[in-house]
Amino acid sequence: MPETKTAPAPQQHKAKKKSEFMRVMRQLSKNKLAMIGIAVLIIEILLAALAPWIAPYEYDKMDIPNAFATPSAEHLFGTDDMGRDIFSRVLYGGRYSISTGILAVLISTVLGICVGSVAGYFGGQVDNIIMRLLDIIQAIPGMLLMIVIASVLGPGFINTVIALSVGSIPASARMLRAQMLKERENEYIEASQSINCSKFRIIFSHLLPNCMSPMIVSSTMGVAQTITTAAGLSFIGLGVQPPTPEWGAMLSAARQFMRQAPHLIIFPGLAIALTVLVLNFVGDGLRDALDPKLKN
Amino acid sequence: MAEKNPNTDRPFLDIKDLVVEYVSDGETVHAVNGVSLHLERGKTLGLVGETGAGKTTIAKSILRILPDVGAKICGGEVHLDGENLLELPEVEMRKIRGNKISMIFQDPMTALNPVQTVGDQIAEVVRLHLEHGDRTDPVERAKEMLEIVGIPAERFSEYPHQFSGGMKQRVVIAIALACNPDLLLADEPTTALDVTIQAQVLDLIADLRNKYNTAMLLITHDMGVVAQVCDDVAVIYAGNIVEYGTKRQVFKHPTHPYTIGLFGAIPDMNEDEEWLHPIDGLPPDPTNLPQGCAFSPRCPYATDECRKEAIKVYRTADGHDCRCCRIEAIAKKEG
Repeated sequence: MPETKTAPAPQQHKAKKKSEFMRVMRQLSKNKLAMIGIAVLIIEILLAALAPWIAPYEYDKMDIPNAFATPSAEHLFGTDDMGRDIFSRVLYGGRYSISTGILAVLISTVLGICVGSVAGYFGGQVDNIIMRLLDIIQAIPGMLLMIVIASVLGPGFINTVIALSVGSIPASARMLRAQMLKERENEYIEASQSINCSKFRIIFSHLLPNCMSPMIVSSTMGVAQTITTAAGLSFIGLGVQPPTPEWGAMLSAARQFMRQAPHLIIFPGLAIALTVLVLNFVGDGLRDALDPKLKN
Repeated sequence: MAEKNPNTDRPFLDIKDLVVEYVSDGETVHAVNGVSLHLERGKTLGLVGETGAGKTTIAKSILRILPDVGAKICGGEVHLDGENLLELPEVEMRKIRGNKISMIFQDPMTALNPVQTVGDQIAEVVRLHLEHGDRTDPVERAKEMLEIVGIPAERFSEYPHQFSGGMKQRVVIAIALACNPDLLLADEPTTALDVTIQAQVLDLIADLRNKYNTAMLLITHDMGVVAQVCDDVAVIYAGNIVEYGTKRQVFKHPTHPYTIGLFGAIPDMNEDEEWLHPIDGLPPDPTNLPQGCAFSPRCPYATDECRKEAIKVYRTADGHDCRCCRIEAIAKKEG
């Protein structure tokens, strides 16, 4: 195929290209806490991802004579009741805890977006039916719903993710719906109808991008919340099962030795607290950066 | 219009007895009550009336983009080029929207999607109407349209918030004209703009229309804009056309008391006027229109006859249409 027509015309306007994304990034980079949060988060994710290479011991390598060792040069965070190295376990645990959080939020946000956008755009009866169905889910206390789903599906990584995501679908659907209801009144939606955009196109290419900012913020915060909830689920024995080192499961396993060997609880607990804290920093920063009132 | 000749073919755009109602909370809003209009290729018809008179509803009915919930076209015909648009299946209608008929929206601040580049938004309409085998490059066409409306093509990938109000309206016009429509519905295209930009935008629209021989339905409440742009004028009140004629006829000899009131409300710049002269009263509640002439409660000439039954259309002395049964009395008084 001879390329006759594609003259190299582009690139001439890249200097002035200031997309919404770049603007948000610039705004975000001014926020110190958010930048610290992002940095810590990246380090955590890297540590978790590289755990097999970084960790000094296997996460399930037992060393009974050396149980309950306090932190030392040999065992950075000490060892637990089976003599396993807590530092290695915390590193490996990050893989499960962080990925559970992100995956569960991703699933619930995507489903929430689908349901919420249909309800918000079409309105009327469709909206009514969808919202009442979501009301049913929301009427069940969140923790209870998760326990029920987790115990029906059985423990395990995937099942935990499902249990965590179902409960938060209504919240994200509701938020998107509200946003849609507000956004669809704008004239550009009418304009896109007048140039013959299909409903699908209007929803996904015109409305959704304009509704995303609150979703991004709430998802970021949601990851933090989901990590704590996942820890809770593991704590009551329904989440990821031992010996898989999930932070919540580690807490749960260690709670009987809390008085004698507090370091068993302190380190996984710190890991959870730190992750949740930095995620909240990032979420706060994103909210400020995405707020149109603070533009420029 | 005066010279309605039954021998010629149907006009390019021919609206007959259009009736549109909205239903909200069990109440029926009579937005458009039997409007008939016609427009030839290359001509401009000004639709003048106050807020809520049903102007925008007429435009949206032509495009069939009234809201799904609540709005209903209860009767009438809209013929474009011989086809009744109200009876076309949705599939056919999609080919017309944005292609044969396009619309310029009132508020350029909200008529553009804030998170898409202006170029993409122009290219979108071109892409949506590419016929099979058509080799037009939407991006090239979009750049061409930007140049046509006086924006450098380099600004293709900028976002609406980087443009000023007048520039945004130019982009909206570029979108509307990208597919060379036969009919342009301009819904108060200059209301949100200041006077200088308004003149520029009107000039631009006029230039482009002359170039492509596009017919235009200009919706406005600004008599000045009508005087500048239109060939014919229809004055609409409470969903009904009360006066309809060429610009010259309506401006020289306004006959309907509402039109007279409208002209009377324009302050005279040459005289020192202390008070404006508005029309007394408020537009009627469209859920509960007065019996007979909708204007009768505010009309200084109204008699009992006006309040009895729907008013016919009368022909005035200079040959334009006026929906008023007291035209002779008024003509005498206004002299």
